[in-house]
Amino acid sequence: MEVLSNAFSLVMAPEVLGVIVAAALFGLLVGAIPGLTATMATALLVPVTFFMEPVPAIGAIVTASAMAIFAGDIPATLLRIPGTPSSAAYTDEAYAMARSGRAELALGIALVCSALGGLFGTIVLVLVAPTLAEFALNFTSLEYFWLACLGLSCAALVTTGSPLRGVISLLVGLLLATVGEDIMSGYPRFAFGNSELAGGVGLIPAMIGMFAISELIRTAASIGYEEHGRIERIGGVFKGLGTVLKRYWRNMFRGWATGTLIGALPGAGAGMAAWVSMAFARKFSREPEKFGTGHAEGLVEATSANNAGLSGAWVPALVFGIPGDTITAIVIGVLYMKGMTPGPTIFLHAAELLYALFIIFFIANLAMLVLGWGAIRAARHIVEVPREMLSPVILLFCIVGAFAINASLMGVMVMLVLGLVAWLMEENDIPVAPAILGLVLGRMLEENFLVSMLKARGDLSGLFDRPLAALLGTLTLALWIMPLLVRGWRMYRPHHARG
Amino acid sequence: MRLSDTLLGVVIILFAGVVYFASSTFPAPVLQDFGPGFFPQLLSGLLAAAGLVMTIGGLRRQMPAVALADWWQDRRRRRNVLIVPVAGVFYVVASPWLGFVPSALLLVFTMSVVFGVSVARAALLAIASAAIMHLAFVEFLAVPLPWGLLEPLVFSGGAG
Repeated sequence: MEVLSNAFSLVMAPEVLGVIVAAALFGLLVGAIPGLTATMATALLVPVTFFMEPVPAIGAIVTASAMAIFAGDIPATLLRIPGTPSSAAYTDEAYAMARSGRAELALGIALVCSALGGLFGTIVLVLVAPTLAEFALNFTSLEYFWLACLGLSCAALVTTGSPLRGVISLLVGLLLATVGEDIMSGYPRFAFGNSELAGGVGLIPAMIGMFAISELIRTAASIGYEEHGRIERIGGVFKGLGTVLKRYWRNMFRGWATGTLIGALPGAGAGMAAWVSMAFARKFSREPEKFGTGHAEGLVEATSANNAGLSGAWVPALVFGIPGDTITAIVIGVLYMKGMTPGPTIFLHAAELLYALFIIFFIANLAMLVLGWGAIRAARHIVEVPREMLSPVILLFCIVGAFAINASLMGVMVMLVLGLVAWLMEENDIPVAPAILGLVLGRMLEENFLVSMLKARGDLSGLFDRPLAALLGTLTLALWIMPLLVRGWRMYRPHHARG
Repeated sequence: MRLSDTLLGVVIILFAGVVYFASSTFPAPVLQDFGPGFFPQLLSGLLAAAGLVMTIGGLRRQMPAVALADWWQDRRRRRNVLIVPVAGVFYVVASPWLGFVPSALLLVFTMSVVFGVSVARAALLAIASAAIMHLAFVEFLAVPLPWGLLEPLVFSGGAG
């Protein structure tokens, strides 16, 4: 109880509340501007949080990302341009509603379902994370090795369109993580005699590069060519909302559950949660023929799911140090920067901080109802911010941010190079998320492998010595072998049938 | 810029090969089974294998070796895209001797003019953003952004 009251006093400090409000406005702005993503909002916040205490730093990220995911629905509904990729799944549906004169209702659904979805995900986080952490206290390097393997395999194989391209992305990320001093011998790998590179590739400059610079390059081509209609005046967004939510409450619940689960899956974030929920809504609908004509059912489910997924992603991030999505990958970088290693012990050593974090999750999602309403009213002005003036300022901010972490130009160079690499990867349909997870988890994977091998005296079968490790290991191997088996079976069957 | 699967696979194999040979020069492990080169060698080996699978898969499909994006055909779009990395490199090269404020002014001004903003608005934007970021990062967060050309003005002004 004392921990909880201490946590409350940590959050209720005026400067913390001030940071939360500022981060909320920032998140709404970035989310509502097409082409700027929630992950980019988080990456841009990091250099600023570097100079803050842990509670406001993490609070700013929680708030900004939740607001950005909701705000992406505003241009999706009004202009048919998703503000963030997480709104893409239901952009056509929401826009069709707006075209038929129900823009207010669509925005109302987006706002309330986003907030409720976020709250549900938070409740799951609060209930599940501490219990899981208690269980995880018994884990040794063996379990962590397999957990990291399982998380990375999941990110590369399950959550991407092409497993081969996912694996390539993952390996590139893991190789990036090997830059710097070797954990055992201290030998500087791939440092080219540079003392800063010997410390490894900076996570923060890497993420600003891969999420902000690549995005700037990608969207630069369309500057001066954007064409969209004008936004009409928007009336009351809560009118008629009760009837819709009462009618589709099952969809809302299912969206919460799917969203939280998919969010917790490493590598799959809010965007994937929305796509899967949209597909579920159509599959289980009694009137699937209405989808695409401005039908609220799918919108209720998918917009609940993406915000629930955002909270769900924090479960594996906090408990195991394995990020559930790209935003929590950045969060893990920030936690390390603050000297807090994510993992079950964080629940023992920094319980107050975690409770403060949970409280901020609740505040952020409740504040969304008020501030989000304001953002909808101001949509006309936010969405039409001139991109040609915004992009140069964002680039300058990225440069200063990457410089600020170590006060060196090496950060800026890492940011630029990885920004170009990420852009080239996406141009060639290679997803970036597995590479980010590889970069964040590479060290943990290698360290736990080497420690386990020391214990087992170099015997690889020692990796399966403990029952839970054996289970996790089998799961990981199954994840790799199953697709190959299925493929082999498909190749064999036609011949067999013909013969 | 989109490479065909065959070419992309070959590029990946070459990259993996370079990494593999670079890591084979790392010192051998002492009193351990796995040295500093083990992990990079394992990863680059797997990457080369993945590149090989991609190359073979690509041979079955007809794709142009290199397909340039639409924006490459249009002069203005091409300039828009290229200015982003060019501006970044400019900052890395120029800021140590020009200093943050002059480099930032040039960067924001040039970039927005290239993007089609009028000269007057671009100048205003450059001054405002350089000033706000200087204030926020140098005065408020104490980040030592380089002074460069302005150094004599700032540090001798008070003493003189």
